[in-house]
Amino acid sequence: MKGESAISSWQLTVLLFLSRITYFFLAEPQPEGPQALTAAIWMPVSILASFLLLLPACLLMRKHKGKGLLDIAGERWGKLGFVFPAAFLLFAVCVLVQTACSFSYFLTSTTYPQSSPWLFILLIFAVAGYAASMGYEPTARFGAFVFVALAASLLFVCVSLWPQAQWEFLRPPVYDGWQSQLRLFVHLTLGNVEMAALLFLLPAVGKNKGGVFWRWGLLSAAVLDGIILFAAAVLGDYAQTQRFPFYAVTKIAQLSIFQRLDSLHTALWVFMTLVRLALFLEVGGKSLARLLPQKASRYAVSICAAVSALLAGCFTRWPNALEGLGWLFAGGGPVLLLTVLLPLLLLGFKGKKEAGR
Amino acid sequence: MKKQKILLMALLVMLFTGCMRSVQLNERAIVQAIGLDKENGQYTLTLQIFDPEGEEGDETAGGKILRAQGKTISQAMRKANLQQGQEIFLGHTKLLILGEAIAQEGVGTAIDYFGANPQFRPTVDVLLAETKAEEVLKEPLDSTILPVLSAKMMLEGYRDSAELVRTQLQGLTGSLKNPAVGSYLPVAAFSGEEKNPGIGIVGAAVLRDGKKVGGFLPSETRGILWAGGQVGKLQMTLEEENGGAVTLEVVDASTRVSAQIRDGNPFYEVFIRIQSNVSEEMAFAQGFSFSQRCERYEEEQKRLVERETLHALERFFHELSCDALGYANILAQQQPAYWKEHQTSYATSLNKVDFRVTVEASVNRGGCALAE
Repeated sequence: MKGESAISSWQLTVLLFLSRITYFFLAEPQPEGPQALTAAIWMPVSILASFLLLLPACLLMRKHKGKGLLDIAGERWGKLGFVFPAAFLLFAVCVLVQTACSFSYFLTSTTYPQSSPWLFILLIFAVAGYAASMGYEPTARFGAFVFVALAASLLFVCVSLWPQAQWEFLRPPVYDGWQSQLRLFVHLTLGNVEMAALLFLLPAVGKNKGGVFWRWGLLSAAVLDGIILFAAAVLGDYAQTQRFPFYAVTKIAQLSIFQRLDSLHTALWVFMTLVRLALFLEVGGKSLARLLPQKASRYAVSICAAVSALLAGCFTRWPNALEGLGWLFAGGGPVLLLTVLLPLLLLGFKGKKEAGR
Repeated sequence: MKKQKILLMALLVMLFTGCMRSVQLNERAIVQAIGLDKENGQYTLTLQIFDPEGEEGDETAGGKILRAQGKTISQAMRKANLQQGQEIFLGHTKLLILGEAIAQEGVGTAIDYFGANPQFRPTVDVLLAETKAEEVLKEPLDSTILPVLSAKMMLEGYRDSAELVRTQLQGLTGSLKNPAVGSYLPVAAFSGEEKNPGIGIVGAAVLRDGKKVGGFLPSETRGILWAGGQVGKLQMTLEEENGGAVTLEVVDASTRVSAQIRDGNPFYEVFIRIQSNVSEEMAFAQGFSFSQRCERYEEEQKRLVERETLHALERFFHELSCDALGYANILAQQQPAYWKEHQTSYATSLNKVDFRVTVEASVNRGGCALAE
């Protein structure tokens, strides 16, 4: 994997960071969900918990230096090792469908109310599929550009709206019951799908693999905390009426002659969504390539993109199924399976070949 | 080959001009201000549309007025669309003026409608008409600058003038979502001067649960701004009984509110800090040195601000029973135990709320001071 397209630890950090931030930009807040301050407090705690959860997988990868989970599964379990690529493929397709549906919903509800979601889904999958087929490195380089643009955009929003922030809108966590806080913690920890992407992509990193998790975790926690708290302080009770609160923040941000820049921010989020889709298309494509015959494996990314686009388009017509998918991820089952349970099984059970050796 | 590919891709970009059909500028009716009235169950929509050219000899060049009626706001908007022929664009709307009848009935429906429109911006100023919104937006519009634009500029400078309040759609929508707090809106009226027509701000209306419950005169609105921490670089003129006067220019002001529980009821401690320069002296406190006069000014300013702020708080909490300043949010943040127990009854027991106002005023003595 490393030979195909190696990336630096910082590049992977940026890709994972952008993917994580995109999820929060496109996520709809729950009406009865916890307060912003509660979420901000649990965010760093969830990073620590994620680290603990990833320990078995890291141990496994340390034992098999330079190899990814799919390689290790193939080595240890032989033909039964197909469970890993199959699970990663299914997982990646679900993430892709959810992201594309949220993205098209965002555009059709805020910017283009009279457009069909299919238009956005097909367009973005065509571009993301092309990006993913190029490999990690070009996507990572594009990610670096998006990262700089995002930093500039966040700085602009903060500077322009700082005087309007009313910090009394931040309420202490005592208002959220323990059940609500527990759900939030599970959602932040096990709903973090980038953890699975990290495990999948880590072998592609040249040096300093260990630093990726901490850099990504701390950077995303700090930025997300800032965004959540700031949006809550600026919007106040108005946030309750908004499906995409941070979009509402960018709509009111203006500084001197720089006014009405929400379309620029939206363009930036399109890029971020593109990075997220390309990232998970690579995960899905590379997993599918393991399952297909050698000759067909070169079309794996395209097949994955086409299937995901088709499913995403259909899911926009099945809101209940989409909601179910959201609940599945929020419950943490898929991430727990891929990042903890399967690596633990792999660590515990050796196939005949490996045991004989 | 590579160059050809790049050229081909660059040409392809020309095809991606947008996801919606294009609308030419002359096919678009750019709305500057919206007036909304309700009478006999019918909404009347008054749209002031930007029209830089107008027809030859038309005195209303610069803008034109469009009126439409409907059972719902959507229906009225649809009728306006049909009347106009052009596509009505709300993305540049500067003012939303609601008629008195709507304020009496409740502004919730109107605010929900405009808030849900993706073209409508959350920063649109919302005003209440003294009588009817269509009266405020009535012609003539032949002045070089539209009355709407001058009203917008006036509202933008509200912190410095301190004779009017300002509420944007975002703030009003938020207050409607929170049953514990109310809101206030500037009250607008058509000035009616033939040579210089314009929209004047004639006070502030207070809303509880989205319905008008009372009002403030322009002379009282400064107290609202002090209590809400919204004062900018305003000028304050202090007068003496013997005719002397001094104008102080506030260069910095801040308000800090803390919430406590006293005798089982909320108690708000309002602390205001003001820093001013002496702008003009006119026979005020004659016979004293500049430093001594400054001390007098500080005392006078402190007394005046205290009085104005207390008056505003008294009226809001005790007379109108409305927490339009949003102090409930501070109470919820600082006294969570009390708030958890009393949040449902808070809005109905505002007459038990008590407060204290402390002002710290200082007048700068350095720099280019006036002569001793």
